[in-house]
Amino acid sequence: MTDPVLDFAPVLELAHVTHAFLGRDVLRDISLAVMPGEVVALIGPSGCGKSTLVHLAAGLLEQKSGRIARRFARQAMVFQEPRLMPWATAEANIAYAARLAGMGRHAARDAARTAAARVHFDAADLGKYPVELSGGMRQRVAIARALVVAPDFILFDEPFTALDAALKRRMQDLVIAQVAQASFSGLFVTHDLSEAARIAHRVAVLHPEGRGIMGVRHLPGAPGSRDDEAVFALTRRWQHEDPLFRHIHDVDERRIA
Amino acid sequence: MDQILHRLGRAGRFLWGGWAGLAGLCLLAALWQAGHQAWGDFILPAPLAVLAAAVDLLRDPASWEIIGRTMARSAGGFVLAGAVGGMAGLAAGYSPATMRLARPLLTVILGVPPIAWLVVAMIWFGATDGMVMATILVGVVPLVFAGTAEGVAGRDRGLDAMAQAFGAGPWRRFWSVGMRQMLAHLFPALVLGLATSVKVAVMIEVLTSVGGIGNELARARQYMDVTMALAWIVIAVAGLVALEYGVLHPLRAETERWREAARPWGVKR
Ligand SMILES: Nc1ncnc2c1ncn2[C@@H]1O[C@H](COP(=O)(O)OP(=O)(O)OP(=O)(O)O)[C@@H](O)[C@H]1O
Ligand SMILES: [Mg+2]
Repeated sequence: MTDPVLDFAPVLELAHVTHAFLGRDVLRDISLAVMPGEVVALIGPSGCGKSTLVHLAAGLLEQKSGRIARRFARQAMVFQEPRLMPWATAEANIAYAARLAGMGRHAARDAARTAAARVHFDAADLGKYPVELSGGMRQRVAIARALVVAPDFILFDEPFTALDAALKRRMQDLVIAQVAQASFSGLFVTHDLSEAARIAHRVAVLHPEGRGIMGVRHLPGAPGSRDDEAVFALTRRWQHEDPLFRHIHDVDERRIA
Repeated sequence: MDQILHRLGRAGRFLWGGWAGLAGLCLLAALWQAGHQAWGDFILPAPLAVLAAAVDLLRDPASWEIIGRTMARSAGGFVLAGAVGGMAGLAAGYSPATMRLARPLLTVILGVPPIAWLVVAMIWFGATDGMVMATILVGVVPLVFAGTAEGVAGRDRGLDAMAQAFGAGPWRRFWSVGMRQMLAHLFPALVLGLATSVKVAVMIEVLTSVGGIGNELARARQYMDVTMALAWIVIAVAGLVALEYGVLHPLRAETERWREAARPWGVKR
């Protein structure tokens, strides 16, 4: 962000990206950009290839064709499943990412405790193994693990699905605050239109069969500035007036209006 | 402090588990005693007499040398087999092509009884430690290989991807994520491999004259001394149990602490 020219270049840019699993095209001709300090929400019905897109963006999959440019120093990721190491305690799981980022043992442990506190994970549970944690607790460990490395880009794959309404809101606020401080940009996959309306600068809708990004909507104002009424109005308009969101309405039963 | 207490607790549970083992042994001794009373001293000496003979043997420093020879051979063969099988298993686990090549090979090697290898090894190496180790190697490498390869191939790729997403290179991924999952599969194979090593070593010693516990067994057979034979067997088994519970199991417990946590309350052993 020190280079003013870079501020205008997307931190993540996918250009005409195609991906196939076992010869079957899952994603075709995907073009999407995330600007510095921006959160782009990606929505689309179940099975349309959102996770695949995120994995491509993270470099975990190799695209069949097209180009992906990553202009960030350190990425972090919250997977759709917690993906915790079962043999390590909650604290060790969080510290693992910090260690990978080059922190020393003690620094990593302290950072892990701080990150756990930020996701409202009780310090008393830090010594527990993933099997001893509830689903929501596991997911919070996974979120803390992503925050602990102080990333400048985060890929979120439906990160808050396992959390209750109050916690979900707090986590969203956490993301909104971090982005407002310009500490990271992100790509945020969600099923939840109101979640997208709360935290994103832009919403991109993926084609139900992965054939491109069907459209992108800019949201008014900064993410933190929208109150519940504005969020409700936005989701209402999307569902009832915006043809872009029609398929989501049709296909995705898990939609939370 | 908490760590120490936790560890003490685990050690306590481990010892408590020993009581169950002891009960099993007592049952065996009771059956043995019954057999002794039915068939007499010549066929089956009393368990206490055998125990006394074993203790007598252990008092003699010469016996320790004999035991040492057998144990050194089995340990040497076991470690070598672990290294070779582990390396090959890693290669096969990470490369499906190698795995496909190795499968039929494994079937063939496992299909040949150790005694057949023994004949070949004797021709190649003569009556030496090398011959014993080679035979152990052939018997144990496939076990370790299969355990390792399965552990690697069956790993949770999601965790690999997680590590990669946070910037871990291939080596780092292997050390931090792959290795731990492999160990879970490897330990049962190692326990079995260790037992096989000792058994094969003793078997070879019985059949050839290279010294060790097996040699003493062969001598006992010559003199028709069942007490002596059983005493040596007891010593060999005790040695194996000591190795398994003294070395392998504590090692395993250390790496698998989370499994303890996963067990429902009250089922902890
Ligand atoms: N490893 C894989 N091998 C083969 N096909 C796969 C694989 N992973 C995903 N797919 C297929 O790719 C398509 C897209 O899957 P993806 O997981 O990206 O969907 P998604 O949009 O994230 O769905 P959801 O909202 O339910 O998480 C699906 O049809 C799925 O069957
Ligand atoms: Mg998904």
